[in-house]
Amino acid sequence: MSASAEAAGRRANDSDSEVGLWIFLASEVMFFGLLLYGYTITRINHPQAFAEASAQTDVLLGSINCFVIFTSSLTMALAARSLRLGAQQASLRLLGATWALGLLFLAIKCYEYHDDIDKHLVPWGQFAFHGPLAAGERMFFFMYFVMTGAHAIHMTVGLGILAVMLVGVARGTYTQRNSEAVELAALYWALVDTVWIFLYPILYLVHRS
Amino acid sequence: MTSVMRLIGVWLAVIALLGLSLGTAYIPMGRFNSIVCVTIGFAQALLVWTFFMRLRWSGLLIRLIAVIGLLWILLLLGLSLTDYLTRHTIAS
Repeated sequence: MSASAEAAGRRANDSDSEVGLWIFLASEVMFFGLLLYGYTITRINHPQAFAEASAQTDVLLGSINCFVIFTSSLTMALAARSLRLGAQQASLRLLGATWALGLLFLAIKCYEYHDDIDKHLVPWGQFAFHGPLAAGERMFFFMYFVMTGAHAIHMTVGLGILAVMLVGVARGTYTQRNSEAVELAALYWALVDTVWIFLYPILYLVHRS
Repeated sequence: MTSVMRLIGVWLAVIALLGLSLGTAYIPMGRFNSIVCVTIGFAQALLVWTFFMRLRWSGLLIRLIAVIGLLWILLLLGLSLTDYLTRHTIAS
């Protein structure tokens, strides 16, 4: 343990960059937390509209995407582990799998958006609902697009980061001795996964029974 | 148990919880449906944070940042909701 780490009262495995990334992740929690708050308030005001609008989301595609993103989190954690243990080739393959799963997630999400647009679920423009609850249903889909959109942007950024990691591991820039960048990418990727863990029940499962 | 087996075990648990969440959503329980689903979400997130994000092996500083991040957002949401949900009561 270095003297400075000792002075800061932490164990040697908390590197400065890891601590920095965790602070960034905590600020991300604030960002998505604000969206969650907006969602909660709107849902309290329009419970019935949220139940009916949520039933229009594609629960099958949403659930498949859960499976895809959870699996990508596993392959990412395994990729970081492999590199830590010096298994460069295994790490490269696992990173590739993670990248492909991330892309699959976005492809399914895009297909879903395409369906939503076809069903006139986009709250701006011609909207599918016209009943007395239409204002609340509009708000649900506004939250749906903003939240899944913000998440998709994070996924896209994650794919960019993963691409850099892939090239880095392939070229031998990131190795067992220099695996930190991949570790940090894995942390970011897992947080984006966590966001989806919470978006899934509040957008897809509001009223299914 | 090797670390690979452990990570795969965590993944299986998260997937099983997804099935549970989806399954219970189809059982009519009124407002408890959402409470159950979000609670399951917290369980899944806890698994991801502990094992995939390696909080189990992190030092004190990182654990503190994670706990404080979570605590602050719950505090902010909780206090904001306390205000919002009681406005009507006080006004009347």
